[in-house]
Amino acid sequence: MNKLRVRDLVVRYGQLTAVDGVSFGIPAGGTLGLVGESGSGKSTIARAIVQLASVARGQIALDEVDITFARGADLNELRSRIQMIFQDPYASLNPRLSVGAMIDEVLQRHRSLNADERRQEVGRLLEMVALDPLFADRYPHQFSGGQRQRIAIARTLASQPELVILDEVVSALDVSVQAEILNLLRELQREFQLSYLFISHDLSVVRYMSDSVCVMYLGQIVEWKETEDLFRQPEHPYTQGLIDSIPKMIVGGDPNRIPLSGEIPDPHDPPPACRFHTRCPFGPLAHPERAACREDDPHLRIDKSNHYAACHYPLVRKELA
Amino acid sequence: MTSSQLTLHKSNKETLTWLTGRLGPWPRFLLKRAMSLFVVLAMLLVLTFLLIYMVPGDPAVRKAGIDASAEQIEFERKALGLDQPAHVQFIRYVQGVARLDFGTSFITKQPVTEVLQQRFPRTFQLAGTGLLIVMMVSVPLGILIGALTREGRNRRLEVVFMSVTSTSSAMPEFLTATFLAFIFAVTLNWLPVGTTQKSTAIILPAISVSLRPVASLARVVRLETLNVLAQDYIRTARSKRLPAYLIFMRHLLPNVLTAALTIGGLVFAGLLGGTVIVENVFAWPGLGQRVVDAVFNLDYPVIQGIVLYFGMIVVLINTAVDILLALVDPRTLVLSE
Amino acid sequence: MSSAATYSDVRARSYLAFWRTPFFRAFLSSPSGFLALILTGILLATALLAPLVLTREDVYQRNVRRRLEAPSADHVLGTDNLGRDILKRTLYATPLTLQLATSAAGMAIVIGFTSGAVTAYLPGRLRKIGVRLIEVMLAFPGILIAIMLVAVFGTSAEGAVLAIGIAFSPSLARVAYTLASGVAGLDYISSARVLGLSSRRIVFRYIIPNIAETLIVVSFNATAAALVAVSSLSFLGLGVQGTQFDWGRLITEGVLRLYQVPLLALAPALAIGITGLALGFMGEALARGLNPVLWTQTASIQSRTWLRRYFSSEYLLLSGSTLLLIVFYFLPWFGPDAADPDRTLITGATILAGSSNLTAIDIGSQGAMLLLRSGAWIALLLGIVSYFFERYRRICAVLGLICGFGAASYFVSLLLADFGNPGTALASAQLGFYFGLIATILLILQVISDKSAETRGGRHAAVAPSEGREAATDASLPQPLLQARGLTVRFDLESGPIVPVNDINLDLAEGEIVGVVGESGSGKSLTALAIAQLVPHPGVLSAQHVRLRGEDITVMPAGELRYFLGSEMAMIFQDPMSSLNPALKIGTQLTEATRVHRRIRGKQLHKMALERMADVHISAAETRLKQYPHEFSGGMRQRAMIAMGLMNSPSLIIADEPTTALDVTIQAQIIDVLREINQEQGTTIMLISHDIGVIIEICSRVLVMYAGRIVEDVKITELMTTDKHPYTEALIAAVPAFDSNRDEPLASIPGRPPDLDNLPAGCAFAPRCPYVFERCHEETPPLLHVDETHRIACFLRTDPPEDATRE
Repeated sequence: MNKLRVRDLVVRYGQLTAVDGVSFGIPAGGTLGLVGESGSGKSTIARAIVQLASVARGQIALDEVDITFARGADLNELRSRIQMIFQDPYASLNPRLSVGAMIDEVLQRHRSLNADERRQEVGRLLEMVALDPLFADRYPHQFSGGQRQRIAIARTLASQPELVILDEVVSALDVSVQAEILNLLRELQREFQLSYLFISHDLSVVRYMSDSVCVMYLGQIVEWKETEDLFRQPEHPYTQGLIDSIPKMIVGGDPNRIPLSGEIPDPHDPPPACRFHTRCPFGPLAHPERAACREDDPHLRIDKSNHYAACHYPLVRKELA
Repeated sequence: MTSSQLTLHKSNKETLTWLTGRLGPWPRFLLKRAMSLFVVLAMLLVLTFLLIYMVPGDPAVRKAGIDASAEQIEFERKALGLDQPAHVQFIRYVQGVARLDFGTSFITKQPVTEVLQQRFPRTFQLAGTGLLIVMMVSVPLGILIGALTREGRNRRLEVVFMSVTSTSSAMPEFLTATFLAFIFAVTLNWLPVGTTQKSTAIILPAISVSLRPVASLARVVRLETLNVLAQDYIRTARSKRLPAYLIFMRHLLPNVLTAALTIGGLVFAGLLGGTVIVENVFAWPGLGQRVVDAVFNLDYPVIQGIVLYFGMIVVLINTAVDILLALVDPRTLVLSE
Repeated sequence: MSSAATYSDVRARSYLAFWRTPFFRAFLSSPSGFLALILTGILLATALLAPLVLTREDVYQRNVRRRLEAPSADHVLGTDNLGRDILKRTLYATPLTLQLATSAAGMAIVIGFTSGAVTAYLPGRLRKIGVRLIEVMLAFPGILIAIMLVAVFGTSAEGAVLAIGIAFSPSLARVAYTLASGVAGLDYISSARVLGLSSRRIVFRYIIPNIAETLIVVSFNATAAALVAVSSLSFLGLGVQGTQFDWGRLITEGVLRLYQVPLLALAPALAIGITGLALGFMGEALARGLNPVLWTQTASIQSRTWLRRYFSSEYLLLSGSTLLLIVFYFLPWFGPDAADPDRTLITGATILAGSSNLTAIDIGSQGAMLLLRSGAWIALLLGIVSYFFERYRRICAVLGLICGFGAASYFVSLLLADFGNPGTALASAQLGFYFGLIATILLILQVISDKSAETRGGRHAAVAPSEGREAATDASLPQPLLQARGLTVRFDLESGPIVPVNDINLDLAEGEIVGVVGESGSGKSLTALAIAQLVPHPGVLSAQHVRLRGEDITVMPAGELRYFLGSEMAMIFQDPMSSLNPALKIGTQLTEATRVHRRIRGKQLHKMALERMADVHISAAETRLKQYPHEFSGGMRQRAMIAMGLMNSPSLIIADEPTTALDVTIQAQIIDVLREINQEQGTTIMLISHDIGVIIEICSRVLVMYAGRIVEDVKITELMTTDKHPYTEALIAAVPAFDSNRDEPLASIPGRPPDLDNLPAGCAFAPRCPYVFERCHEETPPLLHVDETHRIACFLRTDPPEDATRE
């Protein structure tokens, strides 16, 4: 059963359609990765799910209950069940509240504990993210980026959520710290049966964290697959391009990679039909006979192995070699 | 709102988008500026027009005098157009302004236009000299102190600069004026006061009126200098090993001046406000002195005229600054969209 | 659970007396807080006590016979034109003035803040109209609007307050609007909403505390401005009416008689000035008190340190001399005989000393006054010098002390000498002079000896460690393009010195791409800036030498250096948007360095620019050159930056995280461009990155940095095979590799990078190192060759202990 299901989601900021008809599901206790370049609409999806951005069309369901336009008491209940951690650990903590007060107010809001129990719980939560309980008296400016991200995690856990949206949570951190936070997140997932929506631009991190991955381009999902399959056999040329762009610890670089040219087009004025055709190394740029890319919208197609790719001419790895 | 209104409204908007879409950035920018200038002037007219309604008492009684007969008052009411409905009065008011006719003073029976013609040159002389002093002093001073205190250098110089400027910007104009008059006119007897005959007579009023703006603008310029100096593109310029004068003239100065210009309009408005006070200390025969008299005597046409006149000047200067900014900084054209 | 209990204990203990709270400590952390407290205290006391102590008779009773008198024992500041005491009247006006100012400001604050905050939350179109309205109102001179409104509300104290309250509200509305609309989009507000916190809590615990500082400063400034405005209106006769009077009205009376009794205007004017200052200081200090960052910073400061800060020699000199000069030059103006200020002074002194022997003063007084005056000027000079130049602070303090001592002894001797015996006075002055002379000589000697000792010690310490290894490294690479030896950058901060780049030795061969990798704070970027001679203030660069093409750039004269580095070295920075000047066309920025350094102009220069644009694969270069940076996309900007670097065909390009701000696909493109340039033009590239993946892909060699030192220098081809520095090993392992097992936890490096101001003894990595042994905590491992091309700073690799080999 899916913990969260998103159907045909559309989000607009004025004239700009940031998310254009996106559907996916997150299994209970599982992690869905969301990758794409900046401007692809990943963060907007996250903000729509937690109702920080208003949905123009579509449906968001938690445990098969429609929560798209939840208000009042429903929204309050939802707030404890769906949580979000933000990218910049320096901007997402209120500089005027001590760490203890920050966690305490979440406990007050979502848990019925008395003052003493809350104090104990604050200490327990901090220990859970491997911080000294005495840090409760300190203020955010006294911590490093990694420690702040731990504080944000502890605060999130305080409401005992079921689904946590992780929006680029490690991209502001050093590699060594990044590894610690990722390990911590996985431990917590196992311990509390959390479902994650893991958003990142870094494919190698997404690969490590996710069970399945959605690849986004200009507000649309172009491919959705089990993680291992996606990395072994990408079908959409954009996925292939993303994977090829990542440095892979190969001295002198991977000689077989096919680089993507150009940059993501202006989302205010996306290309017609297949949005990727202006950059696609396998599309009409290289193969003029593939006119369909310029004319028809390729919808997500489901094949037998539960694999989705929005491409008229999906890649098969053999063909490349 | 009915649906036809809605569509009309929509098509209007579309026409406008179409129109502006066809124009280049410059005409589009100027069109937008002209439109906003129009809106602001309209608001100004409404505000000054409403003044007559807000004041206590009957203007007709004011004009006719306290011991006037009922007929006389009625006559004045007609003459002022107060017997007409409000919108007719407003149209007459706007028509009058368009003809540069602001009415006649209740007290001196002198046309307000004449008052403006007589008095404004003196105020302009004072505000203009003040502005000159402000620009000549605060921009170089701000840049100099900014350069000396960049990256936390010369902390103590910064403290001195900050305390001197904050003290001076808290100094009311009449206080500065009194002190200056006391020191340079009374004690040292170097400069004249209470006259406009000598050419040196403007020095003390102009300094009094500009001290506060000098201090506040110098602070802004310093902050902006620090800000620009901390920008990556200055580091790029240094990494290109450009000579200091080129870094200053090409990379620092234009960006600092843009910021100085942006608040230049506000500074000028402040200066005009300052002249009202300073003119009264130094018996400088400008509009400031006249407006205080008018308020004493509840001489509405004069108050109305002077406020409107000041307002229009400020608005025009702000528009000029906007256009100047767009000329200096190409980003302004795009960002104003 | 025991530790959680400790946390509750801490909470319980944290009730402190008010003067020991973090708020108050931060409040007092700058002299302005101290001043604010004193001035506000005086003002409030005056406002409360004046109406109680002074009777109406004191301030209203006329006494025409004693009109326009100069200061005397009866009337300390003299009398006005009706013979009333100026001081008493000024004090008596305090409560009314303050009341008017605060109520006008209060009104402006309430109207302004609410309308601004409401505007910020209005829906689209209404909001635009609201903002427009505020802007239009702001364009008018506030005082003019106030004057106009006085006509509406009538000329009275209430009218003035109402007028100012309304006229000043737009500027406050703008501030509130900006703050409210700015804060709403912040991440921590979003996160509070996601956490489900109530709107009330978000407003009171998230929004208000974060904008409170600004609001407080703005409110206090508004109160000061309102004070000025109310006084201005009263001064113009549009404010307080009838028998009531405030400071503004007192000034009106005074200005008319400025020539006769200047104090009549100056006393209330000073009162306004002082109140304005007190309000400004108070706002500033309150805002400081609310800043939690200062709470922790000031927690360690002892009150003794504060005392030392306030009463340090330079402040004493400055305030003392200023006071003396005011006494000598300013006060006499108000005396009975403005033409002879000396007489006023000496009269004052005589009164103070309790002597009535006025006839004797003239004898010797001329010389005495001259000496005293010059003493005060010298003290002021010393104060200024010691304020700005720390180096001379001590000598100035002693000289000032001598001055003060001399002046005091002279003055005392003058008084003691019964004014009749100038000889005694002269003798004591001579004594003071000789005493000062001897002290000065001693002090100069001491300062000189201090200084020479410092310089000798300092140079010695910095140079020593690297000397031994120089010969070895030189032999291995005969003609490097760049050679740096003992490169060190030191910052002397208030909290103590830190050395973010510590004794770096490196060589870059012609045509290499060398990577520099490390975590944030490892000193990699600063190393690049140090090589480029662009160390930011207050960093101090020292090095044995930095040779580029064999020329030592640390000793090159400035003009020559500019030309040399301008054509031999180029830099590319992280953020291509901010690294280009937004107000200049790309073409101008591309060509300006070539124009200056190589004096190429016109067509030839334009052709060069087009070629360089082609090198980095920017199409339609002709039009692109005429565009501004904001018309370029992120990747294009970085390409333009590289093209700019290539203009002078440099032999070395230093690229500081050139791809960090870019998307992965763009990163790959930029890396390709860099590689191409290296291959086709043979340019040496020093590539700084936190991403070891990028470095492995493009570099031939990598320098690994940790806590300001190079810990490893190794060829990329050897990186995966040979024994490495434990830090390098951990750094590589921490990257989630593409073929790694997803079920295993990622390898991480326990602990944190050390703080530069608190480096551990020995190897800086020892606290996080899995192979650590005793020696690591005792000595800093030097960077030594393990083979011809591989250097490691680790005892485990260079000098392994007996038992460590088993690992």
